[in-house]
Amino acid sequence: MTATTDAAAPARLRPDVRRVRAAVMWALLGLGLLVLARYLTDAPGLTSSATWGSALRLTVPIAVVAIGGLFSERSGVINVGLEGMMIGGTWVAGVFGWLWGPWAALAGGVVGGLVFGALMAVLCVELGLNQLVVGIAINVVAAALARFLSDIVFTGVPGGSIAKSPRIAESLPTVSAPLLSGGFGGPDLLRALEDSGIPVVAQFGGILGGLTRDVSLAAIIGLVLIPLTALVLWRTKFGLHWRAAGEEPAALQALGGRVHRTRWIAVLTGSGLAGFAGGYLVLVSQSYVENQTAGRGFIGLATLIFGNWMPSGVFLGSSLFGFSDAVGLGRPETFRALLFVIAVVFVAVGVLRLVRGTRRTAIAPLVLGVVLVVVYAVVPLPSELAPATPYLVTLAVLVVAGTTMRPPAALGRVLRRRTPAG
Amino acid sequence: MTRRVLVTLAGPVVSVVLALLVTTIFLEAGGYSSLSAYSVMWDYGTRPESLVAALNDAVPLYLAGVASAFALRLGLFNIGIDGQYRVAALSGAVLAANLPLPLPIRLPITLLFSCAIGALWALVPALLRIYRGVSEVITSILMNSIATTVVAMLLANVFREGTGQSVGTAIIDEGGRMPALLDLGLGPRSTISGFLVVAIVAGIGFYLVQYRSTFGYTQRVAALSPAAAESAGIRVDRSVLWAMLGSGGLAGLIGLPHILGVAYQYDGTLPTDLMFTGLAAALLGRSHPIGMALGALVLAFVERSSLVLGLVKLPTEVGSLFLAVILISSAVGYYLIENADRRLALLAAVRRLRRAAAGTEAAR
Repeated sequence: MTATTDAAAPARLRPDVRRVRAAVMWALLGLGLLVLARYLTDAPGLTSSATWGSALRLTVPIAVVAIGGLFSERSGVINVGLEGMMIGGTWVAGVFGWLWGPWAALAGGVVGGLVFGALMAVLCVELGLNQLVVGIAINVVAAALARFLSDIVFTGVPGGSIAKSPRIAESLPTVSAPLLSGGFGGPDLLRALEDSGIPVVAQFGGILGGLTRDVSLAAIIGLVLIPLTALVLWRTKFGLHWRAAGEEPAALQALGGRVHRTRWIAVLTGSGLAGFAGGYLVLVSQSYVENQTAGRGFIGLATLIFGNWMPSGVFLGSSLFGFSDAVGLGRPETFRALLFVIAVVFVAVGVLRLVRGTRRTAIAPLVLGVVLVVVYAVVPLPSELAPATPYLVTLAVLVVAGTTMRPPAALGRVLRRRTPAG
Repeated sequence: MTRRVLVTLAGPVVSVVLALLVTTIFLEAGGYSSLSAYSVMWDYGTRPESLVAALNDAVPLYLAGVASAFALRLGLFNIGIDGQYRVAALSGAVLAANLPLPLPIRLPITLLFSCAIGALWALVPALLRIYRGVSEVITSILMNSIATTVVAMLLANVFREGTGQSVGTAIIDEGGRMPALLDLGLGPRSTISGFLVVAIVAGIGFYLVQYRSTFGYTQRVAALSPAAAESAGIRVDRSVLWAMLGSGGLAGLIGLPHILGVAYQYDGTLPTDLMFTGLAAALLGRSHPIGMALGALVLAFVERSSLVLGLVKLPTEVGSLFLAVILISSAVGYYLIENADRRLALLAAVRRLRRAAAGTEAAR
């Protein structure tokens, strides 16, 4: 998970030996900590392939919707409407999937997102309305419209109701890595490792096996979009225009770039991606269900800010969120084990900062880490708290980490089109 | 002066007309008769008991509008109102049911306690924004999700009363309920709740604090230019803190009209969309205390009168669709009006200049 950590900044795109070495070291340290926690707290769920497989499935929609937000916000348009675009995606995906199958559902998701993307582009880029207002409005409109249209389209159809589309018959094919996890009829080496029960080896097999076995094609497409976005953002001419539109639109215009066109493309692409994430959710549950997005658009927005508007940061944030979500859905002892891991990491960060002499920044992680250790040791955690795991984890990480957030400089700033009347 | 009044009035009117237009298009496209829908809604909505109900329904919307406007004055976007009012409503319900005091003491304590809990829930985003530089939007969203879990957990494990299917806190007795302000005697449920007074007090307080006090002025300066505010000796940090606390405190009141006036306990019937509808009221009324009140009344009227649609085989979602569309159309409406106003002013100026030029020409 740390292998692609900082592939984002322009100078860092080329693999640098030192960075690769650091990434490998951190990955090994993390693995070691997980193995340690798994045995110390007796929580096999922490490193089982089931947990890591569901972590991957839960990461994808959040990562994709956050990347969608990145497209819009890097061009200077605040996108609070991600949730609404996602809802639009789920609804159209439900219709398309019901009529024409799973691939059409994915395409339908994109279409549903684009509808609201176009609305946002017209209102925010062309007319220059308040972007927060338009975003909130899109969320509310999408939810109301989905229910209204469901009543017209799905009610009365066998298997459908006002809150649900008929079931999508098939699902997208899944793939597994060849040789390692039984892909293409080969042996399932990692499963054998996981079942061997040898410390370290079994956990390694569990984690890697969960990440490579039976992965849906939709998830792969979604994950590939992240490095692709990084490439476009940092390495292409459009990427330069895109960033300039978000940082200093007047300069872009002065140099002959077209701010409005760039923002249109960015907002539309972003909304399409948010809709894609909605389509992915529909494929997971095999039908459109009302309120299926369950605030994931907002979480995507939070991940985008958390990831500092960087594709790599978005990936890190969404995988942290997806993993803690998977742990929260699992058994209670896994949840406690995660608590232990986080406490150790926080204490380590605090000590590291103390040693480096930055006392003030060391207080928060140290205090939080010690509190978590005490909670872990003494307080019996009610299992009802588990659904809040990802939110609590993200909040805790923000308390410790978030200081150097830097949004695009022109975020929310409107550039008016020149009109004859002035 | 007349022009200013006209322009102020034209915004909401154009917004409502636009929203009606869009809703009509959707209704007709869905194969329903929009005219019959509207006439049924109007007939039902203008009955006296519906009007009373709409007035009562407007109170939480107005409080939500004021709460969001309080933070918006500083340019802060308190999307955490959602979680703040749910946590505060639960605490208020528990306190009102368990405090062994007479009504005149118990009621104010309940209100203040709910305010305090709402403010406390808003404190986390405020502190993180000030000390860690994390946007209040992201932390508020996280706190909303945490509120959902915490409320469910407390309700299931700690405050649950009664047995069987009902999941709710203890019933609040007469001594903790909000008394009726006025009984119109039109049959059942035709009483105006005492929370109308709370809403009016909140509105006046909002006006005095934000428009007529030094604090409100510093908020305005800090919103327009943080750098200028800092150099003039205004602590922007502190402004952020107080804006969030004030907004959270007001948000703490939103759920109480339902708790102390309708359900008399915290259970699953507390409306969950009060924040967004309240935000719509704030946008429709341009964050002005009186404008927001009108906006809340319009929205509550639409919500109430759309309830009847189910009886005549029309989708009740028309009401929520209309509310949603009004959010966008209020933004578009104000844009159109302001543009038109600017253009008219420009034309008038040009005409004046021409006339002046002609005058000098003639004099020469």
